[in-house]
Amino acid sequence: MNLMKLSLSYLRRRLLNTLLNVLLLSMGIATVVLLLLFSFQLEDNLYKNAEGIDVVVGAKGSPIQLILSSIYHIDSPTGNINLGEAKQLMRHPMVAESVPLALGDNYRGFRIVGTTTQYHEKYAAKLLEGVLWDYEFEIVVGADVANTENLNIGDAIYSSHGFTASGHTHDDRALIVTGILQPTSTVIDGLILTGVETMWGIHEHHEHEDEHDHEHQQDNHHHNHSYEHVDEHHHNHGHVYEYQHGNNYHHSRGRNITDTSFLNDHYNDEQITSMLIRYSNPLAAAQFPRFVNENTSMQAAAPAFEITRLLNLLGVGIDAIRIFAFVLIFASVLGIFIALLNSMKERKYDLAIMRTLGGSRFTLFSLVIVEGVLISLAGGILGILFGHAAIEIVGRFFSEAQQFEVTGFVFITAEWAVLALALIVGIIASIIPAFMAYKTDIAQTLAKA
Amino acid sequence: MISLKSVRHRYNSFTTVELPDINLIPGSDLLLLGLSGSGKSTLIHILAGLLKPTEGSYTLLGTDLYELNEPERDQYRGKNIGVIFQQMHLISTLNIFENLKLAQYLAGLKPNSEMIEQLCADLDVADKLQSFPDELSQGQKQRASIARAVVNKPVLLLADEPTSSLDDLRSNDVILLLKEQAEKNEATLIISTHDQRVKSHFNNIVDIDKIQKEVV
Repeated sequence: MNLMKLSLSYLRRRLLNTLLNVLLLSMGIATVVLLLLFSFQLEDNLYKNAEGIDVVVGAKGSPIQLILSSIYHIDSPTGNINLGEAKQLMRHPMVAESVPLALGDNYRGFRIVGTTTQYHEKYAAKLLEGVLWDYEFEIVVGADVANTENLNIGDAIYSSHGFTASGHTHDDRALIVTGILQPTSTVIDGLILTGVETMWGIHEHHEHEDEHDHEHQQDNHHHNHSYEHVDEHHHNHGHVYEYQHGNNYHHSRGRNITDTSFLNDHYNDEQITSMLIRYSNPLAAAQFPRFVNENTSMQAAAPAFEITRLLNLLGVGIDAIRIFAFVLIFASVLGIFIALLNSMKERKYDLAIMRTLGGSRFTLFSLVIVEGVLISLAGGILGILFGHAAIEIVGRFFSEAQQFEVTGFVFITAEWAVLALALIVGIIASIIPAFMAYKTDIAQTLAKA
Repeated sequence: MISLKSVRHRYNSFTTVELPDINLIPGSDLLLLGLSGSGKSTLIHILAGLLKPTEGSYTLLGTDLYELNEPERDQYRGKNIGVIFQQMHLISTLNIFENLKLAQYLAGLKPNSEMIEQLCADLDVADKLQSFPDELSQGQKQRASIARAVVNKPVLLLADEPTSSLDDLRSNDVILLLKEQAEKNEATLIISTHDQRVKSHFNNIVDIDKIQKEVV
């Protein structure tokens, strides 16, 4: 026999009331945990994916939209920028590294990103199998894409225009899977990577269908530029096929692509969506965005700044839910308090007897506190479990629509604080009833029996 | 030696209870006879160390109970004094076995299941150890509460109106049981009652009605 067993025996006596109070508290705690886990994982995701990106340059428009579309691949891009103009920025002395992104197509909702190999190196994504692209229309798929769509090396897929699976399908131009990336827990897992030229190639071809003659002229125009020999060779063959008098081998290849081939001056009129830029020195953060915004037709948006802005916007909603959570917790404090207060009245004689049997005032005080704390700890632990279950469910429901993974299987240190909060709730709720137990006048109580 | 000397207790400015001096040797017994409101309960509470009197001293086996601080007095009471009330006041959320264990725990003594089982066999409630107080008859409850009062081997066993709600036969049984348990533990037995039926069992009788005066 000890205080714990004694407390439990009283809690069992009013089991329904106890369970209701545990449940009420657990819902408040679950909401707090849900918010904590959600903001933690959201922030973690936001910052992790923006690592090594000092600024994003893209078409003018909403800076948040530019960040969302170019880093997190959520929103639509703000538009396109001219490669010729972009190239001038790439050579800017404050720019240490610039990774081009050409967006606009998807495969069953997975975005296809025309870029260079610097892009997946930024996320330390290594090949699980296969090789990187060497030619136009060769693609490397992220781990989630490969898993979800069951893609293997050598598979051919057909991209759709836009960012949703319902867009127009470029069903005449197969993209060939040459490599599959290892999972990284970053946005790259849900992307299909290829060279910048592939994105141009897809749309070039698309335009062929619609405006055959016009495009034909453009091709000739391109052709007249000074290509490198190898490039020209592949380019030619690609086109030979497109005009339906080539062989299938060259169809699957297209032009040869390297990390710098897209910089060739004959592409200057082509467009890309944006560039992910890393500065050569930290001072650039103050000057470079202003330079871009004032002197070019493009805009520069700093992820660190925009993430903070985004989190502040979200913060309003999070605060509202947090207030709701604290209302629930306050209600459960009242619930536990009232339950204990009522049980003190019923238990007056029990308390007097316990004193007669040798228990001190402090023993009785502790007994009531233990009771409150048992309820609140049960509510706290249950609430933490509920919170994790809830975020796991939320994560599963929205995983298809979002690039962010939220999981219930992450535990964070702040949850200890939540448990401490539950403990404090129990103590606050039980301190007045405990004090009443402490003050019980034994002789007077027994005399009234 | 159990000795109570010139004890008065003032409840408020209108009610003061004056109590008889008592001197008892260990192992003896005493009947406190008096009508309700005569101060019997006050006396039992003072003897149990539950109520500090306004005046006077109370010594139990050399210890002046009201010289101890409160937690010390609680511990001393738990270990040395067993109290039986008219209402049994068993803890309703615990079974009989747990009720007795609670008495050991609150007195700060080591749990001793064997003693509990032995005692309950002795008091004929051994088969009720796992039962809750609500499931017991009035007589069984009384025997269980006697078991709880003597489980820590007290030197002083107090009973406040133990027979008032019982018929003649049962009243007699309870008095015999209390005397028997007190003897086994070599405890001093003090019973307060207004029940004239039990007079015959006691040599020492204090008639409180005659001594005590209410000062109004």
